[in-house]
Amino acid sequence: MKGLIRNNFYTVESSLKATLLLSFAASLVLTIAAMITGNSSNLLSLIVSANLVGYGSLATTLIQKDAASKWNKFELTMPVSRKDVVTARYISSLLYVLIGTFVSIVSAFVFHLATGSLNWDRAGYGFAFGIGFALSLPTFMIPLVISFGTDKTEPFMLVSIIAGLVLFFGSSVVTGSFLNASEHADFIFRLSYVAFSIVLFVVSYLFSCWLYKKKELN
Amino acid sequence: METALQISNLYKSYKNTDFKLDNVSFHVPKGSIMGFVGKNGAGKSTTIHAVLNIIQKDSGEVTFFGQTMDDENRSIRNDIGVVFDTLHFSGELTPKKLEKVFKDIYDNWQGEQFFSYLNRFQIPADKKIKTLSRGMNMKLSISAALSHKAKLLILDEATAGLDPVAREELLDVLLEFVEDEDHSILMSSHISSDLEKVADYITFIDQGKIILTETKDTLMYQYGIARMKQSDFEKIDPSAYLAMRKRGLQLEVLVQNKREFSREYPDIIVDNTTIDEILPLLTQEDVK
Repeated sequence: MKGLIRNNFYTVESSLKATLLLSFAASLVLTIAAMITGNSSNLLSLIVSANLVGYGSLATTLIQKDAASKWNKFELTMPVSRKDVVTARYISSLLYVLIGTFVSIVSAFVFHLATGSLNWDRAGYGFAFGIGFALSLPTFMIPLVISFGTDKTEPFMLVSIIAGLVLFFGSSVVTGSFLNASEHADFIFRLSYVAFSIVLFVVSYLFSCWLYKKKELN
Repeated sequence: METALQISNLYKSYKNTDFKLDNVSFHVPKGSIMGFVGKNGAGKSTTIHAVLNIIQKDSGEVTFFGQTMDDENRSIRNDIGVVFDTLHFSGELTPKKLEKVFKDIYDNWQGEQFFSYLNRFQIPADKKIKTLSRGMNMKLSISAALSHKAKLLILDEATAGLDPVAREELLDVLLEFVEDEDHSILMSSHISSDLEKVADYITFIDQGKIILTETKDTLMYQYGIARMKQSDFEKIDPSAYLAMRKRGLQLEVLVQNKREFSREYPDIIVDNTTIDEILPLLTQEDVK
C-alpha cells in the first residue's frame, strides 16, 4: 500500500510542483490585487477555493497518467490486492486535498498579514467550496474510469467537474429552501455540503472497491 | 516432475466476439523455460492475463507452485516477476524512484541487485523513465522482475521490437536466471529464434486452443518437413504426418519423426525444421 501511494506521488510529482508554483504566483497576484483594490473578501475566497481545486485536481492527473503508462495493469501483478489499489488511489486523492487545504491556510494567513483583513465568512465559503469540489473530482471520476475504461479519462474529467458543480449548486438550492429563515444558514449549508461531499467520497470508495474486484484490464 | 505453473482447462469467453480460450492446459516444469507461441490474436496474451488474474477466467484452474492464486493471496505474487511487451511504469519516475516504490511493495526486494542490473545494462538511475529508449525500458522491466527473488518469470512479448544485441543481452540474463534449476520462465514471443535459443519446451496455441506442447529438442531434432509432389503425397499413409500445406506445386508435410519417415519413404526429402515453419503448418486448415 505504501509503495502504491509513493508511486502515486511520484507520478504526479511534476504536476504537483507546477501546481505549487502556480498557486504561489496566483495567490501573490490576488493578494497584491486585494491590497490595491481593497476588495479583499471575494479575492480571499477565490485564493482559498482555487488552491484547493488545483491540488484536488491532481487526482484526475494521476488517473490519466496511470492509464497512459498502463501502471494500473502492472500493479495487479504485484503482491497487492485490488482493494489496496483502490484504497491507495483514494488515500492519494485525499492527501492532495489535504496539501491544498494546508496551502490555502498558509495563503489565507499571508493574505491576512498583507491586507490587514480576514473575512472569516468568505474564507469559510472558499474552504467549503474548495474542499467539497476537490473531493467530488475523484468521487465521480474514479468509479467512472473503472466502469468504462481508461481511454475516456478526458470526458470523465469533464463529467466529474460538472457533477461537482451540480452538487454544490444543487445543495445550495436544496438547503436554501430549508434554511432561509435561519441566521446561520450559510454556515450550516457549507458545513453540510462538506459533510455530504465526504460521505459521497466514502460511498464512492466502497463502490469503486466493489467495481474493481470484477474489473478486467486489457 | 515439479511444476512452477500449472494451467488446467482454462476457459474464457467474451461477449460480442467468437474468440475464447478453449480449455487451455499446459504446465511449466520447475527449472525450465517454456516458450509460448502463436499467431497474432491466437490467445497468448489473453492466457497470460487470465493466469495473472488481470482478466477473470470463466472456469479452469491455475496454480503457482501448487497454490491457487486469488486476489487476496499476495504472497504468491512475490514469487512472480512479470514483463509485458511495453513498459508499464509511469514515465515520470526515475529508476531510482521506482526502486523505492518496489522496496515498499515486494517482501523480498533486493535493491542492490536492482542497481547492479542497472549498471550491467547501463541504465541511468536518475533519468526519467520516459526519456529512456525502448531497449532500456525493457531492460529496466527485466531488472525489476529479477530483483525480488521471483521464482517464476512471465514474459509477454518482452523481446519484441528490440534490436538483436539487446535481445541477446536479455536472453543471456534469462539463461542465468534458470541456471540454478529452481527458477522457471513462461515466455510468449513472436520471435521464434529467441525461443530456439533459450526454451526447453514450446507450447503452440491457435484460436484459443493449445495445439501442441513439445520439448524444443524434439521439435528441432525429431520433427521434420517433407517436401513432395502431389503424386508422392497420395502414396503416404495419413498416420505418418501431422499437418500439410500447399506451396505452389509443392506440398510441405510436417512429420513427427523424420528418421522413421525417411526409412518408410526413402525417396522423399525430409528437412530439419524450425518453429517458424512448424507454426504455420500447425495453424492452417489442413491440419489433421
